[in-house]
Amino acid sequence: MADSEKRKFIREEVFNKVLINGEAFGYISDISLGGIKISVMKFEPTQFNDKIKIKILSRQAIGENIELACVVRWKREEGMFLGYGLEFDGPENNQMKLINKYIDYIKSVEAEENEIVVELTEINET
Amino acid sequence: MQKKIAIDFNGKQCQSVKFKCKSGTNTRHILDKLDLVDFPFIQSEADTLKYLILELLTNSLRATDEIRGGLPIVIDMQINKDFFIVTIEDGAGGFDVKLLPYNIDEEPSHIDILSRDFIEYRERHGFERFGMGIYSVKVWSDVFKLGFIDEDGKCIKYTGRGSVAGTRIVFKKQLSKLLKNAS
Repeated sequence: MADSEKRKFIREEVFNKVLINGEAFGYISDISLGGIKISVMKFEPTQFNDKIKIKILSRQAIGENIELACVVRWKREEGMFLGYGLEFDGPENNQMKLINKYIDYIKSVEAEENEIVVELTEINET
Repeated sequence: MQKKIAIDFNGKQCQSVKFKCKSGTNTRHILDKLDLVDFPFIQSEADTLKYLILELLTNSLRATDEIRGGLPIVIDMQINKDFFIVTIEDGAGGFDVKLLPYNIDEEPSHIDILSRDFIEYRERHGFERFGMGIYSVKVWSDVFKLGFIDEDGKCIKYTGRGSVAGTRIVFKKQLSKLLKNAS
């Protein structure tokens, strides 16, 4: 992992939609108490240290969306997406409560039994 | 003997990997299963692929939840000599492609995702749908097919609500564009 991607807090992997500056849209791939990683299409203007506003579309998960100010800590090409590492910029108590609630939700889902059936066609090397 | 190109699932070398899930499945659980899959692809392509599958799957899960049931959702990933092929099939009753914010038959390079149609689509859905799933898959893949199926999985035409059992999306990409060591 590159130094730029290290975070102080444990990251939880997730797949959720996010709105950036009210117009661009993308996906969250992980979140911690300190920041978030997002991947977006066609969202070029943002550079290192820029401040942006995001809205995590978490209504289905925790009953409400989470709006946060963030600072861009890194940016990189990821195939047809651009990946951004964002640090939360001075979140208020109520925002931290929502982030905690969202992370708790992710953990609770992780702990649930899932009923996904996997079928494999293995390659016979002989 | 030349080594066959394979999808690695939890250490098993596979020609195909199929997941079946039901209404109410959380995308986090699919993510956990996808994390067990190691595609022999360039990392950025493997990451993109994961997003595309999850995005389409989210649509299928939402549609399946809306009709409260339906047939299982099937995600089938296959690798053959020339192509990587993904099929996603649900039993969520299909949908009218005319409700998408673009013409599905149009070349993706001609579609403006910042157009008024997209903005209105997102506003109409409270910014909880972006209209990007199928579009993104069309951009990424070399072959894209969307069709509708009856309860036996036979392709049929969508003629309105209740006319089909579900949706089948198939997309393919040439392995030569994906493989780590492709020349």
